[in-house]
Amino acid sequence: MAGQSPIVPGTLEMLVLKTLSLEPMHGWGIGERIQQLSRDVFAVNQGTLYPALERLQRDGLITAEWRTTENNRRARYYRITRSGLKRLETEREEWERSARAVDLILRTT
Amino acid sequence: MSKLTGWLYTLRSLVRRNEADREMADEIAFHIERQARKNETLGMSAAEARMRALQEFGGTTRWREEARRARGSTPVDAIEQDVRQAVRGFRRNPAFVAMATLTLALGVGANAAMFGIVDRLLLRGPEHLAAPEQVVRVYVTRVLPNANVTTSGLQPYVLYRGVRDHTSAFSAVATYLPMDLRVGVGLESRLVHATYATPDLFTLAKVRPALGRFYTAEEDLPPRGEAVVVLGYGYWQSDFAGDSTIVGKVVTLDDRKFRVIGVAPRGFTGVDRAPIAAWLPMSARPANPGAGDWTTSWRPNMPGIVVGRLAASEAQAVAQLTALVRREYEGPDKSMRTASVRVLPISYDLQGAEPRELGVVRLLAGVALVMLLVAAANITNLTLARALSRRRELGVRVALGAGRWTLVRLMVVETVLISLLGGVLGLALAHWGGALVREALLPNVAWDELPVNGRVLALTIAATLVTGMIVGLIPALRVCGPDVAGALRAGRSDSAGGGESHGAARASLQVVQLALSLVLLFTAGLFVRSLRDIQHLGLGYDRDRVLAVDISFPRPDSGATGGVDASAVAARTRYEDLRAKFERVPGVASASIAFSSPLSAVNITRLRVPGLDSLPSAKGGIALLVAAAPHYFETVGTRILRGRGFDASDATGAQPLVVVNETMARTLWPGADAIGRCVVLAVANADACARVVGIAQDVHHMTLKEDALNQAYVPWGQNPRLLTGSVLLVRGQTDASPLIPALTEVVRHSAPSVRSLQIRSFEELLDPQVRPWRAGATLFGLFGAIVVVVAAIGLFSVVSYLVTQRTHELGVRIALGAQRGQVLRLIMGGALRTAGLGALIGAALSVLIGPAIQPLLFDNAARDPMLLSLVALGLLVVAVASSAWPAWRATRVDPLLALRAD
Repeated sequence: MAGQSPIVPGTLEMLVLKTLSLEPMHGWGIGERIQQLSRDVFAVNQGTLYPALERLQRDGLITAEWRTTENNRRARYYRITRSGLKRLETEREEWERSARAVDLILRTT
Repeated sequence: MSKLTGWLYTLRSLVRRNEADREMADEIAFHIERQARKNETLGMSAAEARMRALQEFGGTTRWREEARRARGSTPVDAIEQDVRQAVRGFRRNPAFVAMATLTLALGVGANAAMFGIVDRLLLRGPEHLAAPEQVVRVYVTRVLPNANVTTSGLQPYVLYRGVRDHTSAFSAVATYLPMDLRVGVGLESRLVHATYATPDLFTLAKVRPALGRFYTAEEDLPPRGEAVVVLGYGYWQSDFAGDSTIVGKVVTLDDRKFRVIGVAPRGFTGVDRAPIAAWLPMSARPANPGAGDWTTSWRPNMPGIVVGRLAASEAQAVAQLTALVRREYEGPDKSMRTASVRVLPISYDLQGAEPRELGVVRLLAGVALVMLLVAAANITNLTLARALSRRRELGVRVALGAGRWTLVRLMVVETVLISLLGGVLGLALAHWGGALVREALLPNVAWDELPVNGRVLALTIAATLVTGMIVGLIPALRVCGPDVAGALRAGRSDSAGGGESHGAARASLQVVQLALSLVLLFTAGLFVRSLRDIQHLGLGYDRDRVLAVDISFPRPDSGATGGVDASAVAARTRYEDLRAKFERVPGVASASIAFSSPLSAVNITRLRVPGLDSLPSAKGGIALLVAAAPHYFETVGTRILRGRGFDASDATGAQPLVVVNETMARTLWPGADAIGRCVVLAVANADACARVVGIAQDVHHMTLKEDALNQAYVPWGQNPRLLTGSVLLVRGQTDASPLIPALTEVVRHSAPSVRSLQIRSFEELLDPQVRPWRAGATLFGLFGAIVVVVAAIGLFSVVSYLVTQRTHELGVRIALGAQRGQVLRLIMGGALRTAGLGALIGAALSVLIGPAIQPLLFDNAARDPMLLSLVALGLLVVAVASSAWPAWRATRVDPLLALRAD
């Protein structure tokens, strides 16, 4: 697990939304998926994940329901809402803009 | 939109807080499980995998809390946390909680109790009486020949009819008369409170029967109404078990049969306050013999109380009715030609005055309100003192990031909790205290609800919450000012807001409550003195050792042979038989018989003294008459000053005798010996001369306050006409009341046919007259005690506060070598100055309100320097006691700690 970093501050919610835009997922799965998609660069702090999910729910960006997993175990699945998708879009644009800006600054010699 | 969703989400999680928590626990459990399984696939043992998963999660509780906060349920959680914290704080400082709770409980309790009474008596009219403020009683005021003004609420029927038929100022008018009637027969019979009323009383009240119907005008046609009755709800419940088939049945009242036609609604008492067992047509009253046609006569021998519902202004009503009375009056009384009519509220008594009880109730309600304000002010002080002594703790909280409002909220939650505690305790006190006030002051009012009813409860809860918030907010805002951190850092209490003016305000509050305590205690003391004076009042008989046995035998058969004389002899024999049997009951010292004995009836006889043409003064020509059997004087305890009382030889046929009282002896034969003189009494044979054989002490015949009158005693055995209404008198060897059951047994065995029997001690007969003073002593004493407790707590809290505030200064003083005694004097001196000033102002107030209290007292003066100084001294002792502990604590201030603290 060497080389793992914590998630860039302020991006966890965006990453969660991105993960959920692919398919509904339970909490553990979201963490795993983020780790997977980042090719093991990012390790999700497990305990910060759930408060984030609560915040997203409160803001109406995701919804939750209890479902049975493939292993016949009850788990809470989160699904992104329409406004969640919209938010993901704006956050992504925001991120790309600032990432480009950061990149520009760093490249300046 | 998203704000709304968020709000809804928060709301939902608030509603289903437990469920949400459980779901989260499930979710975390699932997470751990999955992580553990993943760890297992990496080659760990099951236990290790689980351990690792838990570690990675980083403490489930903490994240659960985090998630919960994210969910947004903070307000409730925060308050719950505050409550938990407050309770923890209370555990650390139970004395504060106890004092504040007790103070508030007393304040709230007194108010709840008094509000229950004021609400029933002053705010709401009698039950079922619609718009009671429109209903007035009609009074006639006349100027008598001797220039005295007299006002009466008892009017002849003809006045009622005149108002009903010839005036327009009332939309409804009625006349009624309350009267006690006997129900049942024999030993089980008793008196119930009934009312004769015209049916328009029900119309006027706008009331509907609970069962059946009310009687109609046709059933109340003078001169002889139908024998029908509408039962009172309470009486119907208690004596007929709420029998729903009661209508049509017959009940016997005063030996007359009445047909039940209906039941009045629950709690209906007409325009008065006393419970009524039976409503009867006004014209069903037994006619007064010699009254003539009572429906047309202006003579006041079959009167009633006239009430009306105003349809015009009071002035119009007065003008119309005055004109009516002056125009229609027929009779010899010239003062009626210039009489004027007044209309007054129905709460007034028959003399047109507001009853003393209402005055006392108002006074006590006012006192209660002041007491609550004082209690609230004291708790504010207590809380402030506590907040200041917690400066360090609050400072730590601020340092840890608590905002100003967090601290304010915590303190308000504390005081609201305390006030709720106090409110609950206060309601318990009100339940008990309200019952006490009812019992002591107003026993004849129909209280249809418990002392703590819905209205009282609602008011109390509101008052409690408001008080709790105010007494918390004021100190909280003071301590946690806008620059809370700075103020707390500075530590010095001055900067926390306790300047000179606040100090003065606090001191004056203490002065006010001490003054109030003094006034109340002094008033209570005056009432206690009245009560004691009454108890030691020489009435001319022993009140606790004498029983009056009021008994009535069946009327003799008029058809029996021998006529009236024979039946009179038979009746007398029955009395004498019983007397002899009573005397043999163990514990009885003596027994006698009397007609018109003290506290039972009044009979006045005209008298003449041969040889004296004009009897001295107007009162010389009449005397109160008592016919007394042998042993009368020793039985009731009236002393014979000279000569003798009566004995068995003073029977019919012997020489007529009389015993006179001191006043009569002095009035008729001033400076001479009355024994052996001759008096002609109108009651005996017209010209027979009764010889004076003894002189008895003066006796208060009916009332506690009574001018000395001529009193003449004649032998019971010599005056067969003075028989009906005689009572048996029994003297116990000690307290007589325990003899009642034995005497009742004797009657049951030897005279089972009696119509009615009532045995009461003289004490009991006097009781209604003693009640106002006893109530005054009890209630003012109770309120005084409460205010003293509140004041003592207040003083204690203020002195504690000052000591806390001056810790720094005291530390400096002690460091500079001040002795314990000096510090003690410093602190106690202030408290004593406050107490002294309070006592002084209280004393001045007591003297000032003396004239207002004077009429409520019995003979003793409202000024009583001895009592006043005693109460003042007592208060000073209380002041010393309540400031002693904080003052002692001041002497223990460790200079090092005090100086280092800041």
